[in-house]
Amino acid sequence: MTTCRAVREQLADWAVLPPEEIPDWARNHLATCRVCCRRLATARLVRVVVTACGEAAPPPPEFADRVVATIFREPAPGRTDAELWRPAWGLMPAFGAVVVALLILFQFGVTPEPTSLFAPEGLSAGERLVLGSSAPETDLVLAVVLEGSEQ
Amino acid sequence: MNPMTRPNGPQGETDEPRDDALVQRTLQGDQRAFEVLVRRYERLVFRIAGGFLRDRRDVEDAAQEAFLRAFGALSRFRSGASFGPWIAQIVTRLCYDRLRARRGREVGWDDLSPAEQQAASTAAAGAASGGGAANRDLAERVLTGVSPKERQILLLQEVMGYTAAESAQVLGCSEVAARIRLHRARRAMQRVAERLLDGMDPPA
Repeated sequence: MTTCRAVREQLADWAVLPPEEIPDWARNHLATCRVCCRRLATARLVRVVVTACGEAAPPPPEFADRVVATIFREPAPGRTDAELWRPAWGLMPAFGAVVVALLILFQFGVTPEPTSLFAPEGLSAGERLVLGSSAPETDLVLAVVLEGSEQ
Repeated sequence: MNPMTRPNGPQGETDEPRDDALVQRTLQGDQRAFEVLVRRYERLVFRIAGGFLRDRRDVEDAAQEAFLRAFGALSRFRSGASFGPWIAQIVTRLCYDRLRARRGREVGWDDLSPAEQQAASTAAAGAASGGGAANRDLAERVLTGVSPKERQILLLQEVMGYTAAESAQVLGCSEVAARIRLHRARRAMQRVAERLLDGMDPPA
């Protein structure tokens, strides 16, 4: 158990060494202790992963030129977004005038009375009550209730 | 040497112009000044991006975008500061966002190609490795098993050699948080490597 602990404490250092450079006492232990052996294998694999990550290829020689060319590229001929929007700003007063006119219309405008599709002449009080488009007068309602279906 | 100011120590005692002077000149329209900055830090940016992204084209895209973003935000660059940590922060965040968009999953032994299995066996046995593409592919496979956040701190500290304080600066967290994150990331990677090796015959 003590040997296991001693081995584990040095695993990180041994992970970068070739097996023959590991001390004999530790190699003897590793030959018999499966757990420590697996830990060393894991530490070695992790080391390889870390080293491989650091082996990035250098930038291509034209990289800086490409970046600078992209940044400082001449603007393409043609109108920019701002120029495209410029004519639309000229229409703003007209648009504002339309909005104000609509507001006034809705605020003060007179809504026409709805008209009935049926001529009131020749209809009974009940029919006038039902078909009339405007609110019925109280007298008319009373007449219908009191007189029944009088013509 | 501070890894963030590599490769040529721009804030040191060289005759080369300082970063903030180059930034000022760029803001005044000097195209050449920004080119000097790009050349000074392109290796650093490629190293960080290369640690995050496997595909060469993705690395170049990320590196270019990092410089474009830096240029776009140049007016916010603090006077007297070094460009290195700033561009490192930009490219780290950019790569992190790209990794986050991909959904990684932990791989098992059987998911590895024969070349990757060979690389893993060689690594686990401690034998001299051929290195190269197989190791890089293997690394990528292992790292898909850790979260982008864990990968970020592993890359900065284990690969780039940043201190906890420098990593904290890049990640925008406290030094203690960076240390905790590194501890968790190491354990996570160890777990992934252990599970991967579980599928392999025990090394002799």
